[in-house]
Amino acid sequence: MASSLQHILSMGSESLQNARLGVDVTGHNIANAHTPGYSRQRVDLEPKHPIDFGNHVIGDGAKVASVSRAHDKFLEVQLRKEKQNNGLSTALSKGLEKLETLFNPELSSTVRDRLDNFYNAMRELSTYPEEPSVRMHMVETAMGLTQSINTAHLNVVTIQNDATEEIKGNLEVLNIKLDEIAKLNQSIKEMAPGIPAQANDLEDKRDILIKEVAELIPLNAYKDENDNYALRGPGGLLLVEGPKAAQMTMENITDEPSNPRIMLRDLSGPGSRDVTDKFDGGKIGGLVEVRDKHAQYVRNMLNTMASQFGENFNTIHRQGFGIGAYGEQSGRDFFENHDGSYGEPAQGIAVSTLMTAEPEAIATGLTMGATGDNVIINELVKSFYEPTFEGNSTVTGLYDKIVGKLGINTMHAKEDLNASTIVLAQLEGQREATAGVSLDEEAANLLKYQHLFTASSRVITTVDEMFKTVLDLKR
Amino acid sequence: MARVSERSRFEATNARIGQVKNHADDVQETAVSGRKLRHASDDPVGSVRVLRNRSKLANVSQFRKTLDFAKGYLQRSEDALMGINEALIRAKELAIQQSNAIWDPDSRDVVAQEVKQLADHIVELGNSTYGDRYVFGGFQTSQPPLNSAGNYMGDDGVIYVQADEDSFRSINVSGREIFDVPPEVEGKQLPLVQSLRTMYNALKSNDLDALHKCMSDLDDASKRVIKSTATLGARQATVEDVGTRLDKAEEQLYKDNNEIEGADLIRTALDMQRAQTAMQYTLSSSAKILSPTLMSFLQ
Repeated sequence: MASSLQHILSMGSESLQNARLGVDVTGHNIANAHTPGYSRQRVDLEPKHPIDFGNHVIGDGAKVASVSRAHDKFLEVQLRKEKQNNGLSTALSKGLEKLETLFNPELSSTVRDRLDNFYNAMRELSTYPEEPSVRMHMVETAMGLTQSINTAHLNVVTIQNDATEEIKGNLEVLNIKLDEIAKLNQSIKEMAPGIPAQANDLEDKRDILIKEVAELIPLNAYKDENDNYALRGPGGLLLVEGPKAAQMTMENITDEPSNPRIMLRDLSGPGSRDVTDKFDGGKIGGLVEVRDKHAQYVRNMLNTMASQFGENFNTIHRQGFGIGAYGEQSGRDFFENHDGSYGEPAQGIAVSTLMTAEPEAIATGLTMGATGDNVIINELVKSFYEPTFEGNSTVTGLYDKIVGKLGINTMHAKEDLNASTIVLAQLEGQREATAGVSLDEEAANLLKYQHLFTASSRVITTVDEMFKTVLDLKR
Repeated sequence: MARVSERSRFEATNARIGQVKNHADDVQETAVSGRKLRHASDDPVGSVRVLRNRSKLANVSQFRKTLDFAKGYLQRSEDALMGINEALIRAKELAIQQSNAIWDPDSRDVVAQEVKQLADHIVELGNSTYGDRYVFGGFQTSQPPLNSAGNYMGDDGVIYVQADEDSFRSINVSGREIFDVPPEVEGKQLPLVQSLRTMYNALKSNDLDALHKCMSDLDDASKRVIKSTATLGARQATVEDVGTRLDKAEEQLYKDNNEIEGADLIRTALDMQRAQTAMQYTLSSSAKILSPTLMSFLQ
């Protein structure tokens, strides 16, 4: 016996179903043409196992082997890596630009301008040491200077605090994402063998989440033996394993209130550990670098400047005599609170209250009771040119160092960001080339499956007519 | 052949439009502000140089004020010294004239009055002030350096002021050198005003020997005054010179900063034009390329 009509009929109806699934998947693709991270799906048809009919082996039609997604896992690895770089350089360049703004060359009334004003007021005082109004002006410019140092310090600390807040917010997002990945690990494991198309979308979702996590932190993701994704984060510590996820929080563990640390409660055991210094990538890594390296550098430099400047100035000032009631006394300080007795040096530095109340107390001369003596004030003006800061800088040199270093770092961060954005765009393009949906292609697929559907139904009507012929044989 | 997906078409278009807009923004900011240096990162080395130059510019205006002050101070001192010198020449003339025996006591008495006036005039000149400061008192600027007897009450303070970035210059002459005698002739010679007072007494008492003796003292005093005047002249010349150098330095600093900070306006205008064209082309080509798909041609 050759093939039966029944067999042809069932083959036709199966083909009809295949064509419908084809249209179905095409529709799904079209619907997701603009969904970020979506991988194009395709129906993989294959011939069914042939049937042995005595001397002949005949085909048994087509079946759907799988609905698979167009996916390049090596590209995913590269993408994750680049997202991490991009996250880092985005956060870095944003943070550095904020810091840089404080030292913008366009600004006036910066610490440097105030230093110039102060020194020019002292030069004026050097020409009129006995003039009360000139003394008052000198004290006022000194107050302007100390206030601008206080403000600069405050601004830097504010940037650090903002970074801390941003890290906190990102850690919360990160914890949610880690949880979701762990849950998806579970769902995919449960669903994968049965309904392949569903698992495709869940896997897409998991890929997206992993990439989003990579954008935040340094990450190493790999599939374990159960096809689950395991994630290792900063310092190679385990973040997600199967259905379990670790959590990160921010805590104050030092006395320094403005710089709390990132603590990881990982899967290996109880307790949490400080991982702040292990963030060498991702957005959070960039924020940590801005906070603990760049902003801290500026803060330290400002403190060095305030304490050294105050100390150097006072050392000379103490040798001198004032005028009037203070003409016969020396040993007074001009600046105060720059020794860390009131917060940090740059936070505390101020003109001593005696000087603001009685400008006659400003030491101008080296000779007792000589009103026209300007030796000390000249010494103070000369100290402006002395390279006594940080080994070999003048006080303005120290400020220039901050500006120069910030400028160079910001320039590099911007360049890195540009480069990484270009690489990322290229990789995204490559990903799109394999995984993206092309509407033209889907239109062709629609036609293809429509024709398949039409032809398959023609097979069925033909069998139907054949049945009729057979049935008509006996009238 | 690479596949081109819908998303990559739209993303690429978005990115391209973003790029041209960014560039246009940047060019516009430069045009509006007239500066090419807006952030330290635009030119880190240049920024530091601009800051340094700006400090120097701020200092230049202070140095100018100081120089004006120094000029006035030196001028005042010079005027006073010239006056003193003239008085001394007149006294010397009178001394030579009166040392001749033909004059009688009455006329010597009249001359003595003139000598007394000359001495008072010199004390007045010695107590010259510039802006409430006694110029010959060293650091003792708020009390007269000469008392009514003509004794020097000031000290040896040398007042230095900063006239440019790298030098401090002294602006006063030592009152002691003029109104007091050098230590090696202490006791043998009389100070300037005292010698006039001695001359007055000699004339009054008709004592020709004493008159003769104070003539050499007057000579020495006159020499010291002339010496001091000469150093003043030299210092005034250098102050003028520093002023000219400040003007040149200022001009150079402005030029330097403008080169680093300032935008080239013609170039900026061209850049603007280019940015505008790029934006128009990007937008119109995007509009043309995004719309058609195979869908539109299927029936």
